[in-house]
Amino acid sequence: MSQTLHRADGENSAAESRAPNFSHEELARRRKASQRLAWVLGTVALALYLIGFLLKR
Amino acid sequence: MSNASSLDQHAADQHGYGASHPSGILRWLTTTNHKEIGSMYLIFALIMFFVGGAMILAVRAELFQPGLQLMQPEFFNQLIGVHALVMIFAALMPAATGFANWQIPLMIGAPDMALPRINNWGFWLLPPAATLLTLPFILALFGIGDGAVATGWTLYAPLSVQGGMGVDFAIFAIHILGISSILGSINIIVTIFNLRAPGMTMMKLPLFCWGWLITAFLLIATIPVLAGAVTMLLTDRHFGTNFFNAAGGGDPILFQHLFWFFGHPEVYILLLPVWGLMPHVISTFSRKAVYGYKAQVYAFIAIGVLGVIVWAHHFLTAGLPVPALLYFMYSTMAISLPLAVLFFCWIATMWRGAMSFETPMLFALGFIVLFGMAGLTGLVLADVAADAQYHHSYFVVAHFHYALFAGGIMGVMTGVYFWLPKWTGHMVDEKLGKLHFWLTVISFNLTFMPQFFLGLAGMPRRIPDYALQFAEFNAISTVGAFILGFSQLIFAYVVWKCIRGGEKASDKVWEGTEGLEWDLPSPPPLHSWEIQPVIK
Repeated sequence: MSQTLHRADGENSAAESRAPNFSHEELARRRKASQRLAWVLGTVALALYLIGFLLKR
Repeated sequence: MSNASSLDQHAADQHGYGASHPSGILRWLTTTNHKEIGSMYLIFALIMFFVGGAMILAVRAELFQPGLQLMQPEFFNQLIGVHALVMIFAALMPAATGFANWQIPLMIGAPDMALPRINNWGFWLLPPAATLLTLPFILALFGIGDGAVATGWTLYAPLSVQGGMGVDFAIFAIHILGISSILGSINIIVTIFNLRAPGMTMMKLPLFCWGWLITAFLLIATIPVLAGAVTMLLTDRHFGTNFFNAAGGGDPILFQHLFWFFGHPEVYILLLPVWGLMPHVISTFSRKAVYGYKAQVYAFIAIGVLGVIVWAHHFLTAGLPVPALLYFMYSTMAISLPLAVLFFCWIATMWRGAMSFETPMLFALGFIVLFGMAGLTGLVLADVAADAQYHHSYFVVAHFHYALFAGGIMGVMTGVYFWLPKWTGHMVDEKLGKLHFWLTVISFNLTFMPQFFLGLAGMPRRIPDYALQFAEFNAISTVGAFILGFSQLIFAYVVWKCIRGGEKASDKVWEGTEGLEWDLPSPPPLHSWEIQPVIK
């Protein structure tokens, strides 16, 4: 909440407190990191599903 | 607005939302925009809310008087089971996901969700799953099959092993809904981790996003277990295995363990997004900063961790060993500690604030009071000795409706009333909103308060007939349910009216509100944060 509000120039209009547009390189880096994490999380979910079939009671 | 228009035009060019972009139904089938997908989730949730609500009104009509009046017990069981499945998987969860889609990118300063195509798939898996859940009702009308799943939403074995084809439909629906939830969760986690605006550390993350982050991890940890359990159920039914079939050496209690390993965290999955949203609303209408931001974050994490280790309190009467009973009783009671921290922080936020009582604040206050009753009655149910009396009674029904209607659905309504002006650019009709609130609160209590007493007096749940001694309170409950059900039409009308037009909303919408999302125009441009915000 209020913690999110300490923008660069404090109290002026939103546009003035913003940095230049996202660069293509920065967006590409973030997308790549997102895809990597998504694969990890997806693999964990699949492993949790499959592991039950391997357990013996 | 000229700035917004130019952003909109730029976004249209970037996303191909110009002349070549599909229009009509194709636009919605192929959209990767977080706002459009969020809107689809919310509209879908609203439709399914009314579908699930209609089912339970039929149930309450049957329960208006003792004896069988309107339907056979088998159909009664089907309505109860599908009502719960629809409300949980097709109404509440999609509504929360709709909020996440709309709000998370706006709140963290991201241009969109990190994985927009997966976002699209996540939504479009829902309609076929909802169709699978409800189709057996229609097939039965044509003499195909014996109706929908009649086991209750818990699908307990051995009843579900022996049930008709409605169980198979439910199993496939749950698989599809699970895939949808996992896709959505992965998207939310990677978006929060990778697309936050520069300077937004995790301890500056809005609490709504924190609530959803914990929810997403809970979903990824528990949905695969549910999917595994219902796959095993499927193989028991059709492929000769005996995981849960006692006659073949299986263990029906194993199904209960697997189901509730998912089922109890599911309660927090439904509630954490709402708990995350509450501080935003309360702080806005109290015109004060959120009290105890860090305490609330740690409480969310504690509830997430405790939530996955308390599952067996849902079947304390199943014959568990005494040490297990004690463990599950004390661990369940321990959840009340972080929850009390949340309640304290919400109330402390209001303390000495310049409060005003617009519709979202009314719903937030209603939520705090009524959800508090769910917490207190939950403590009663966690007590092993007391639970032996209350288990499978109407006390439980009343308890979880105070949790999931007053906590979940009223929480969702709080969010809709709070954010709808931002999304549509129009203010909500306050008079109708307040009318909706008071009708909802009064009729909700009229419906479910008597059920506590019915349960205490020994009325079992999931039975279409009952002893004469329960007649008066059941009649009151049914009257309350119909008022509650029909008063939700006001909500649908208010939403529709707000989308169609009305008083223009300012960018900030509410006087006391704070957060990145309120810097954007109302409604926000199609492509948010074309210009990157920076958090100091």
